[in-house]
Amino acid sequence: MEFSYRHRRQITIWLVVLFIILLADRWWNDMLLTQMQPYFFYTRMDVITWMFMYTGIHQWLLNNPTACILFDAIFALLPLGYLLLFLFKPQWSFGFAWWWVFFNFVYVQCFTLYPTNSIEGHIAWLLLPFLFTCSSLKTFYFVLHFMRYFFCWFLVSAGLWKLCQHGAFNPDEMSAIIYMQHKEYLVTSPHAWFSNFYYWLIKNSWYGYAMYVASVIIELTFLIGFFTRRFDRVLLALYILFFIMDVFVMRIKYWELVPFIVTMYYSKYKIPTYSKGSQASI
Amino acid sequence: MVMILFIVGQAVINFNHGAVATPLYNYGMYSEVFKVKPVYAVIKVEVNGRNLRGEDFSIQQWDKIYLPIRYYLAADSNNNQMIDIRNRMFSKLGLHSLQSSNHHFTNTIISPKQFMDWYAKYLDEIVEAPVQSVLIKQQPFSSQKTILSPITDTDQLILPAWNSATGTVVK
Repeated sequence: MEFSYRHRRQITIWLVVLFIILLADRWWNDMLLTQMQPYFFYTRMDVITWMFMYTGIHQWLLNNPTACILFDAIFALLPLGYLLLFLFKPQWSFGFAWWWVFFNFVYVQCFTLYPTNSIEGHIAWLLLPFLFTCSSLKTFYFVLHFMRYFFCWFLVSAGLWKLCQHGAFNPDEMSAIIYMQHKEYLVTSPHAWFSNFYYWLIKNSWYGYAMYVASVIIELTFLIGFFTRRFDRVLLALYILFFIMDVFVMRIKYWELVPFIVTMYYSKYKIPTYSKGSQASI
Repeated sequence: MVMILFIVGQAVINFNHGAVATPLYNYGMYSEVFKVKPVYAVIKVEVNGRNLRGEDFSIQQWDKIYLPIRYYLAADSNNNQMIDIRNRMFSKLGLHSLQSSNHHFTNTIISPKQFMDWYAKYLDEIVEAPVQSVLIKQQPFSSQKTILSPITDTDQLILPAWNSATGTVVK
């Protein structure tokens, strides 16, 4: 079946709804700027971030509750504003999407300069709004597939790094990561379910190592995604498994990457042969 | 064209293990070889006379409790190191005018007392109770037994104690 405006509409609604759910999750976990009360920043080794820092916006937000409320409000309203425009005034939505792209860049740059936030985990916020700037159906289709390839690359490169850096060949890797990442948890809650599980993994280090190797295999499996789209549903299921294991084993939440699954779910459709009349047909 | 540039950029970033350039990152977390250390220095946060326990907090809340401490202790040296690396890079690129401007790259000086004043208020939101005292301590733990066990009986304050009754930080 060919990719159509109906699919584009579904993708747009899905993505915007997912972004709104992620925003609600941030609010629920006190992870908005207003709730984080940033007090100092921590520079990372990112050339674009260095250029951005010359604006001083990241310093302006420090100890500035009003500015934080303003930033959060814009960040939260942009997906909603886009969805309303897309549904009722689609011809304006493409231009509006550029503002969304721009503001997400500014917000994510600042947000991830403050403690607890890594910029790599915000890649969906940075890249996916580009989809909505495409007025032609064909461009939308190509950008969607580009995002899909990026998502595959994200996982494959994580697997390759573990091979190249030799973590995948170190039987103590999982035990050492557990100690490094969760030592405070282990000490303060020695009898909690998680601690018992972690100590079991450390004691039976081959099981822990097997889990680490399994994660590397899952990541490398996404290499298939570069050659065929036939197994995208299987890859999706693997990603969901990987994601759940990350929460329950590593206590790392990769919620923010979830919107990328939409690119795999809609990958089976063929390239559209027409793309004119985009606004009218949406 | 943009997509090809993105792919080439991503490849360069991955082969170069150094700086990244948004939105091109390397995803090499947890990939290098880690060995189990015999001793781990564990930070404990004591609020109102009780150590905060991991099981009482969500994943994000636990990160929110611990990461500001680690980042505060490392922020100045990290930011200065970034300035050095940045300046070397700009020097190679001939961007000398950008080199001298550093005020956007360093925090205003935050004393341990100021940090603790802020941190106590910040903890209020996370522990959902009025914070009356905060101690941030460190203690060495051995990984040689079945569970992490303390090497010494005493822990050491790594930041000044904070107490709401006096309204000041007591060293």
